[in-house]
Amino acid sequence: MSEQATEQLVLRKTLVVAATRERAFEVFTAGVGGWWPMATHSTGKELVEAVVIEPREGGRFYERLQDGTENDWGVVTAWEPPERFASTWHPGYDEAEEQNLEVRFTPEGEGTRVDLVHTGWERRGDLAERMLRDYDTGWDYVFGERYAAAFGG
Amino acid sequence: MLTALADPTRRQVFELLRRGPRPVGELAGELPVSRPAVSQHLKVLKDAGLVREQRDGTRRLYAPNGDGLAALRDYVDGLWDEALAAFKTAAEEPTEGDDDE
Repeated sequence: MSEQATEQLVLRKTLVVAATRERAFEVFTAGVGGWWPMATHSTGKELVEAVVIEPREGGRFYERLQDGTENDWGVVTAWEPPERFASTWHPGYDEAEEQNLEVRFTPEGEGTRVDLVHTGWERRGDLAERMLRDYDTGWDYVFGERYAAAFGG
Repeated sequence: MLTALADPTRRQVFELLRRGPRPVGELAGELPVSRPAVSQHLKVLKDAGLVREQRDGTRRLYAPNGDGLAALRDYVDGLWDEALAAFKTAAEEPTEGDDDE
């Protein structure tokens, strides 16, 4: 894969929230179960009752189903509150094909700028295909129904 | 555009094309759907910019559009947009004591 193609697979998202850096970090991590759209953005969909990030390096990032089953999404690789948090990312597929997430919190004006970087897609040449297949389990609904509905498709 | 990949058969068509350009007849031979159905799926994929048409003599081949990867990227990007919008709403809610679970 060319460098350009690799760079194409680096996702960067930035947003500013009207909250202190401490609060933004806490809501993103300890409070993840309160906002994560788990019915759609998960592998267990409507069976998911919680999404948890264990607050330490080496902690687990996982979803818990109503029957108690826990599916790992990744492992916390950096825990630097309230500045930075990183984890591996392999929801619904083998950890050998993991990607990486990094989220930084920077004070900006009265609020906090949140920079999210999603990398590591280049580790497998066929990852795009796998994404199509594997994200299927959880993302189909968002994509096929919610997304389409939102755009009148 | 990305709703083009919401259909499982269309995803199969797209995945087959990622292994190499091929004509509609060949695709139909590998899928449990009729040739007209495959043509229809190809049209949707083409309109979405995920697949392009190319000529090989008199044959018409279909191949993944290089920009298709960008489309997948946009797809994941869209998922994050939804998740982060929800995060923003939560982070900006008035604090009420302890947020832990």
